[in-house]
Amino acid sequence: MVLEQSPTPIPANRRTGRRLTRLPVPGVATVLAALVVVMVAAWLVAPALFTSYDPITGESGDTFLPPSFAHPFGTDHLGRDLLARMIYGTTQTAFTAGLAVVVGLLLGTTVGVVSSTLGPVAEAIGMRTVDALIALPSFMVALFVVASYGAGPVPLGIGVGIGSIVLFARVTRAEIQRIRGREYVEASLLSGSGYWRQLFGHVLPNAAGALISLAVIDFGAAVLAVSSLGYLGFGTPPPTPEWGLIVAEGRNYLANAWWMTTLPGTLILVVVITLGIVSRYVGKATRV
Amino acid sequence: MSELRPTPPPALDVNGLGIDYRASGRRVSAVTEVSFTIAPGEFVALVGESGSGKTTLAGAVTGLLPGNSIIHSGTLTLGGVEVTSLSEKKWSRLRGHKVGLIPQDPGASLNPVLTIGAQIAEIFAIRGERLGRTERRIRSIELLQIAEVSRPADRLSQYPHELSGGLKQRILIAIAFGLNPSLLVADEPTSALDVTVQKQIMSLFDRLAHEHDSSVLFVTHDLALATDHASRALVLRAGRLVEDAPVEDLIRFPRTSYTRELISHARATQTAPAATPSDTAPLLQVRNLSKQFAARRGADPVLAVDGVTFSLPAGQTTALVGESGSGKSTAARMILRLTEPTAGEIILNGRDTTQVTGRDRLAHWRAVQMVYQNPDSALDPRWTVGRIVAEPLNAMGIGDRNSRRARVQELLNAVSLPSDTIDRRPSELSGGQRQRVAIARSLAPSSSVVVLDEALSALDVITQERVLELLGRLQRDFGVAYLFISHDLSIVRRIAQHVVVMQSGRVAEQGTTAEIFDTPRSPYVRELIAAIPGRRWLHDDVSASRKDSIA
Repeated sequence: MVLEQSPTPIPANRRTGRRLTRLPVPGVATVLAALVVVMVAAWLVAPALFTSYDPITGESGDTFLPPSFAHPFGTDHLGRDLLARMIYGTTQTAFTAGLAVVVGLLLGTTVGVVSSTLGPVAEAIGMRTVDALIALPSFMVALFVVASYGAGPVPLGIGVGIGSIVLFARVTRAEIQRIRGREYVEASLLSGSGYWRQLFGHVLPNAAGALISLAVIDFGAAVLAVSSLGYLGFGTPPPTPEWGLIVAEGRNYLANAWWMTTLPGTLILVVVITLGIVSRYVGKATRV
Repeated sequence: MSELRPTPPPALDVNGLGIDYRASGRRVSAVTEVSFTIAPGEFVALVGESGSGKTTLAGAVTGLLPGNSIIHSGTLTLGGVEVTSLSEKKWSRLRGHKVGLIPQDPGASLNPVLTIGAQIAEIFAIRGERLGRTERRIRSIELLQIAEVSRPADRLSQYPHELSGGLKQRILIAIAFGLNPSLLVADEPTSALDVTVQKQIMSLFDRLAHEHDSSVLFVTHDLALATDHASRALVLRAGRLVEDAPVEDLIRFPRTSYTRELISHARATQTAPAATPSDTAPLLQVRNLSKQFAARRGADPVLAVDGVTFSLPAGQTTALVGESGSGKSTAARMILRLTEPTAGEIILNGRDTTQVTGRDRLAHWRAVQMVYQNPDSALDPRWTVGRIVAEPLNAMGIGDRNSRRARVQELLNAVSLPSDTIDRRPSELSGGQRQRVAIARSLAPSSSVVVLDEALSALDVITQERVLELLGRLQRDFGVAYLFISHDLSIVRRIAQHVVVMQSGRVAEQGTTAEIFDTPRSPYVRELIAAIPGRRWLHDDVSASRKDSIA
C-alpha cells in the first residue's frame, strides 16, 4: 500500500472562493433591471435630487402640457409635473407595498412552518385555511380588509399582504418538505438539536433563498395591487402623490391628455417587470 | 499495428478526441486527446473514477452528449463511418444498429406509462419491420427468453414499476441486443443492482455479447468487475487515457502508479486477511429486534426486521451486510433510536434504551452517532466545516467556547484535514474530504459507537482506500466501535471483525469475519461471496489455478 494519509489536495481555483456562493454572471436584462430598481430606490430616499418641480402645487399656466424636455411626463390639470409626482409618489407606493410584503412574508412563513412541522393536525388546519384563501382572489381579500378598516396606506398594505399569505405559506411548506428530507437535518437531530435549533439553524436559512426571491417578485405584485386599489380610491387621499392615484386622476382627461394615464402606467409596468427579473436573479444567486 | 490492417473496419475508432463543457462562460475540459480502437467482437472495459470523463466518452460514442459540450478535436469513427460532427437526425439512424446503449439506471430508462410489450415493439419499428400482432408478440417473447426473463409472456403486459431492478435491466439488455448493434456501450449497467443480481446480469451479458459477436465498450468504476469480463481495459483519469492494455498485462505490468493503486485496492479487497477479533465485553446489544411497517391498503403489513439479535463489542467493527431491502438500514435506524422498534431491546452499556423517547434520547446520541452514505446531503451547504463539526458540542452543551474550538481543531486534525478547512464550506471540499468532516462530526461528542451507513459507497475507490485507513486509525486511537452497514462484501472483509448477514429482515448468518468468508454455512452467504467480482485475475488462488489450466 503506497497511500499516504494526506487527503486529496484542494484544486488551486477552489482556494480563492471563500464566499458562500460565487454570484452567477448577470445577463444584460438583469443589469438593466437592477439599474431601474436602484433608480427607483433612490427616488425613495432623495426625491428632490431627481426633480426640481413641486409635486403638490402646480403652475396654473402650465396645465395639460404634453411630454417635452422640460416635463418628460407632461403636466396635469393643475399644472403639476407628472414625473415629479411619480418620483415623490414612490414613497407612498413603496411603503404600502413593502408593508404588504412584510405582512405576507411573516404570516405566510409562520403558517408554512407551523403547518409543516407541528404534526398532522396543524398541517390539516393550516393548509386547508390556505386552500380556502386560494379560492378567493387576493385582490378581493385586500378589498375586504380595506373596506372594513377604512382607506389609508396601512390598512391597504395589510390587506394586500394578507392576500399574499397563500403564496408564502405554500412556498415555505414546499421548501421545508424538501429540506427536511436532507440528511443534515436528521444529523442535527442526532447532534442533539431541538426544534428551534433545527428550524433556525438549518431549515429556515436553506429556505431563505426561495423566500427572498419570492418576496422580491411579490413586491412587484404588491406595487400593482396597491396602485390598483389607490386608483379605486382606497389608498392615500389626494393631493399626496401615489402611483395608483396619479393614474386615477388622469382618467378624466383620457381624451385630451393621454400622457396623464399612459406614462405613469408604463412606469408602474416597468417597475413590476424589472422586479420580476431581479427576483429571478436573486433566486439563482441564493441557490446553494 | 499498421502492418496488420484488418479487413473489416474496427467497430469503434477514437482518434485524438477532445471534449470540453461550457459552463457559465468558462470552458472545462472533460476529455483530452483520447485515442483507442475496438475491434469487431472485442469486449473492452473503460475504467475510471467519477469525473474521469468516462461517461462523457460514452456519450460521445453514442451521440448523446449534452448540449453544452463541444468536441473540439479528434475524430470518432463507428464501423468505418465518421460520426464526429453528425447531426442528431443522422445519429438517430445509426443508433440501434450501429451502436446501442445499456444505461446505468434501469429504473429511469424505461417509460413508466408504457407496457414492456409496447416498449419492445419499438425495436421492430426501428428495424423497419412491419409485423402482425401475433408475429410481434412471438418475436418479443423470443427476445425476452434470450435475456432469460422469467415468465416472458406475462411481462409484455406489465409496466416497469411492477418489475425488479434486475428484471428491468434484463429487458433493457433484450432491447439493446434485439437491434443487434455492432457496438454496445454499457454504462455502469449493474451499479444500481445487488451483487448477486449483478453476477447474473453480467453472465447473461457475457453470453449474449459472445453469441451476437458484438463489440462491447463496458464503462465501469469497478476494476474487479472490468477484469472479470473484458479482454482489454482502458484506464481513464482526469480525461486522459493512462492505460490501454489486455487485462492480463494490465494486472501484471501496470504502467502507471495510478493503475497500480487501483489494482492494489482491488486486490486488497480480495485477499485482505480479516482483522482478528478480540474478546471484549459487548458495548451494544440488540435482542429480538423487530419492525413491522403498517400495511398499505389491501396489502399485508411488512415485517422489515424480524427478530434480529447481535452484539457490538467495544472498539471493534461489526458489519451489517445485506442486499437492498434486507432490513439492514431499518435495523440501524432503530439502533439510533430514529425509528421505533415494534419489539425487541437495544441495550447500550448494560442499559435498556428501547423505552427512551423524545429529548431523553440525547444521552443515547452522546454515545451513538452516525455517518451517512452521501456527504453531500449530510452536511448543510450553508455551514462552515467548523460549525458543522461543532454542532453536537453546541447542541449538547459540551464544553465552553474555547474548548469547543480546540476540540474541533483536534477532530479535524484526527481526520487529516488541513486546519484551514475549518472556515470552508462543504462545496469547497472534495467528496472524500466531506466524508471526513462527517466522520469528525460523528466523533465530536466522544461517541463510543459510530454507525456507518454505506459510508464508503459514494466515494471513489482510491478515496475509499484512504477513508478506510482513516477509520482504522481512529478506531485504534479513540477505541470507537463501528457498526458498518454495507452491501459490499469486499470492503466488509477489510474493516470488520464480526459480520452479520441479513436476508429479508432476518439474520441469515453471523460470526467472525474469518468464519463468514472462509466457511460460510448458509447457501445464501456462499452465493453472496461467490458474487464478489474480481475472481478472474485479482484473486490469488483463482488466478493461480487459472494459470495452471492455461499452461
